[in-house]
Amino acid sequence: MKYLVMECHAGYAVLMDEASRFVRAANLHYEIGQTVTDPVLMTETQPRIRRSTVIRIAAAAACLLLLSGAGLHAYLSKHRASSSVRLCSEVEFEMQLNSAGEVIRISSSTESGQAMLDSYRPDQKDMLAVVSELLTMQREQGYLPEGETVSIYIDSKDEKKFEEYKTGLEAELPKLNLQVSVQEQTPDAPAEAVTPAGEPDKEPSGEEPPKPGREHDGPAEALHTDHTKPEPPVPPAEPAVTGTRPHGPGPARKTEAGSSVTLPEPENGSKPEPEVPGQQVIAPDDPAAREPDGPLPPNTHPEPAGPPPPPVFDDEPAAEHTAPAVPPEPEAAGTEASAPETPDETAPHPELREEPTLPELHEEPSLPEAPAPRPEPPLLNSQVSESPRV
Amino acid sequence: MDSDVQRLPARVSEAKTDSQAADALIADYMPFIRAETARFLKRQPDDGDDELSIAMFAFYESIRCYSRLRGSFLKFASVQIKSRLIDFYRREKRSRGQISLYAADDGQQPLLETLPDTADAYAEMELRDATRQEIEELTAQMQQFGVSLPDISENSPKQRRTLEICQRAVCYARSHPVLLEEFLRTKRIPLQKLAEGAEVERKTLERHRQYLVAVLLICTNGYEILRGHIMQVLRKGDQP
Repeated sequence: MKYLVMECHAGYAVLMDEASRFVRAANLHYEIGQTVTDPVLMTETQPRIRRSTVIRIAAAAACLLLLSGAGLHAYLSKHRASSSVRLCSEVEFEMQLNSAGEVIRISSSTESGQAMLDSYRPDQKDMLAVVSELLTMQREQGYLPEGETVSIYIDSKDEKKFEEYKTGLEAELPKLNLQVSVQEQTPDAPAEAVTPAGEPDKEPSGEEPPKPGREHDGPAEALHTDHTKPEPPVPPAEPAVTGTRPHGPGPARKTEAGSSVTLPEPENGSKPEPEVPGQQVIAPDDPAAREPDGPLPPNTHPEPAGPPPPPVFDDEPAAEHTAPAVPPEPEAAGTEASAPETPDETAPHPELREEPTLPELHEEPSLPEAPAPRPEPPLLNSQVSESPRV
Repeated sequence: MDSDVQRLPARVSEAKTDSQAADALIADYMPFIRAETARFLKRQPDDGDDELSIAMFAFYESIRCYSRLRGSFLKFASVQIKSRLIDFYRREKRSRGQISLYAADDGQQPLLETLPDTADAYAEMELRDATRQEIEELTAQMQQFGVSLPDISENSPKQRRTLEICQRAVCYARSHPVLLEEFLRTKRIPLQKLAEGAEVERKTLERHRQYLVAVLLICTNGYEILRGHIMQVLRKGDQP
């Protein structure tokens, strides 16, 4: 390629090639207007950055990245809510917990709760401490009597965290003389959690009515029942009792919540034989408990103002049933036929009279023969009657 | 001398953009350039030696490429001069088996005078003078546009694709004399029309505005020799 010398300087010359490209080349004694063919062209190289500089910049960038990543992780683990705890008592609170179990946010949907939160700051305390302090504040302000059941709903994706929180709450709250019911938060739980704790406890997972053969709930439930039943059970109506007593033992019994549990229908007519009343009839173990009642009428409820009796089943141990739950079977009831047929008149309900099984039980021919074991009330307990008694 | 050394980085940085400052710096450091050349040649260089021109060119390259990260400028220039001289020596080594036309034969007569002279030296001298006049006229006209040849050499496209884009725009302007007249009248390049007509990106033309000024001026009347030199490019525009 030919180059035309356009300009000459001391150290270089400006050349123009046939492609109209202007280049700089060594001025090998060129003259302007001269045509050259093999010039020494300039190769402009940009100043290279030292490798050490690159390494320093890369190391600084890596350190910065690591620090920012660690900081972000620390921030997220400290300030991001990983689980939530909903405290439902008279005053309702909802706490957001970080991964360390510390309370990062707390809110209340009730005015009294918001008033309490105005003077309280969790300041990333432990969840158990915050719950204890909140319950203590409620107690001091009269919202929470002793023995009250507190429902706590935990929403955590981590099962271990859920178990940890549950265990901690169940271990901590009894120290405050409170009963605790810890459950997992479900989508429909908040709607139920809004109801005050004084209402009957109907939790999502369910305090289902006890089924036959199932162990009775512990004392916590009994205490809970006491507070969740503000009204005493309705005493049985007089006509209902008179109508049901001749029909033998009712297959259904009233539960603590007013619902009835229907027992299996005796298919065989020979079932309510003399030993049957001994198994079904729940009588107070302590005769002294019956003494104040005295010779009550056979259909009179012994404690109209007391709490309803827990559900009683045939196969349950008699020691677990409280005496007041079962009306005493008066010996002076008179009729021999009615005494064995009503072993459990704890809560006669009008619906029970409509049970189709009653006529069948009424037709039992052997029922009048039952009064033989009646004179000994302690023997009415099923468990006691099974064991040889001296 | 100490003050000159202290001022050297500032002068180098000034000479990077100013061609006159570069020429002055080269003139001031000619003893240094000669010393480096003598160290390579193992003798004192003459003013007509190509090695001295290569050394001066290497010194100018050092001015262009120098940065403070490279240490002392004189050491950097020394290495640069030595590298350029080595490259030049290897390049000349390829033609070492050839005989120079100016070498004397046995009869002490230059070999060039023994060969039949087919070229018309007179015509060549006239052509060179005419070419120089055109170049001087072009340089003067470019000054009206605010550009110089060293600036154009820096602004000239380096990559083939960019050069083709600029050549396409020049060919479009040459096929539309109205654009060239507008360019001479307004002394502004009609970039929008060139970009739309040649179907090239305007941004690429804007980056090489000074180069386009020089080539568009060559394409106008009055620069026949220069236009003939770049006819290879201009023929592309004549093709459909």
